[in-house]
Amino acid sequence: MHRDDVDALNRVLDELVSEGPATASDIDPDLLARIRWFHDIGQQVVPDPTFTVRLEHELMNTIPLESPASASADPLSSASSPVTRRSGESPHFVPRPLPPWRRATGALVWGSWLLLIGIIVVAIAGRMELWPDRSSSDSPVLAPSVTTQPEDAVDMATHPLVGSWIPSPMGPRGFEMFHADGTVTIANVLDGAGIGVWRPTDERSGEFIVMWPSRNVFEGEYREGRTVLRGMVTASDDGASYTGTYHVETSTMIGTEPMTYEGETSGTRMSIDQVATATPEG
Amino acid sequence: MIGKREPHLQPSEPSPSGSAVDAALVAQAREDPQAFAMLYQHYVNPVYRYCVHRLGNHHAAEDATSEIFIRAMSGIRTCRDVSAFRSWLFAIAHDVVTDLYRAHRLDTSMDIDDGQYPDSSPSPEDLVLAADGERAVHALLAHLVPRQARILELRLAGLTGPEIAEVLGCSLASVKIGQVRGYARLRDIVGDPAHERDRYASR
Repeated sequence: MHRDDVDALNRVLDELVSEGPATASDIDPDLLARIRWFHDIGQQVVPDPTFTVRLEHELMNTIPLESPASASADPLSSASSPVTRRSGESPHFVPRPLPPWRRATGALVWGSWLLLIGIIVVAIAGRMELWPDRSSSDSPVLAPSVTTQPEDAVDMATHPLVGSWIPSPMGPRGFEMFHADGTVTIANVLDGAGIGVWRPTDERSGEFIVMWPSRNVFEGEYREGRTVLRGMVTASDDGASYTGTYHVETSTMIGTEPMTYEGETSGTRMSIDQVATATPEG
Repeated sequence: MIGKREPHLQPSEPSPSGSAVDAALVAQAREDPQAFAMLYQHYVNPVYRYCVHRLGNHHAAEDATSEIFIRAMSGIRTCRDVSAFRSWLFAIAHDVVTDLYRAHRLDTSMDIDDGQYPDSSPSPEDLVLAADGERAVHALLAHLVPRQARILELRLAGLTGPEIAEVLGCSLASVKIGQVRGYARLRDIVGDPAHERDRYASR
């Protein structure tokens, strides 16, 4: 687009937001019509009057003004927000900020107490030998992921499903990985890579869900959806194989009926020897 | 005193020409918290609208709007340029919504127990046709490059080009280019609104 056109559009938009004429002969009428339409539907959004009245009442009755000299008063810094609330929490319960000198004094007193308590705790722990001997650890500890429950992650690290698997050749050829942090990765030749999560259901079994993004064509247009695989698998006693059931659902493809199917599955643990001797299947 | 009047008797939305009025109100609100009520009444709708368009639902938008006005009122004395109150207010809004948006994204990790997985975005035209402006606009904006979406959201909130540049911390030229591309992209996505409405009605 030519620079003049860019400036003209900006001028029209400035007029539009200020309820000016917002007309320009040098703007594509089709584009202008859509801009007006977009702004029209955008203006339909209005807050609940009950909410606006309540908020105004709360503002007028509870929020103190900060001094310009106060560093914490900069509302453009989220870290120094003068007031932060949890969702649904009423501002009525927001404590009034203390003057800077009182905050400094309080911080000093509390800091001294915490330092003293910390020294005592460390001294006691040292005498009781509560700290683990890090030098005796043989195996690396897997840090729990933020995507899973920490209590699950502890059990998952030694669960027999953790590892790389070659599923049975009934489905598309591919590979599966149950990770110790509770995530699952499945890749096969038809669908590409699927991402999911799993959790143990007992000492040998686990349930999982994996999803793939998908795309289809409907009435000449691309439609996006996803394929969801849910399953329950149990590792063999020797941990070299698994068996289980699965359920697949393709969903949210607009214009198409959701498709579901289910069945039984099995797989063998991937090993270096097995992969090294494998030959391409015809 | 302004604060004694009944709220929302005559709510009106701001216009760029109102910056002089804003400046007077900001100066007054610095000394008298009740004067902030007028600024609130002027801006609560566009701020709320901005939050809905970015966050996509009313509950989150109400939380964000509350936080924005609490911050604005508490820190009104730090608004250096009283004639640029709107830019200052929407800069706060931009920060608050960005924080909420990030927090929301962190909360939506996959969970086996949760049968309601986040759905992939419905096609833009389906949402456009829904008689629900908030969902339609949010869905359409989701199909733009983030910077273009931010510009158009602020346009919908009633900001001028220079004000948007100030809020986003970029040049006016960048805003101009972004909005040209953004609206052009929307045109491509939406097609003819009248045609789409007819098509939707026939389903």
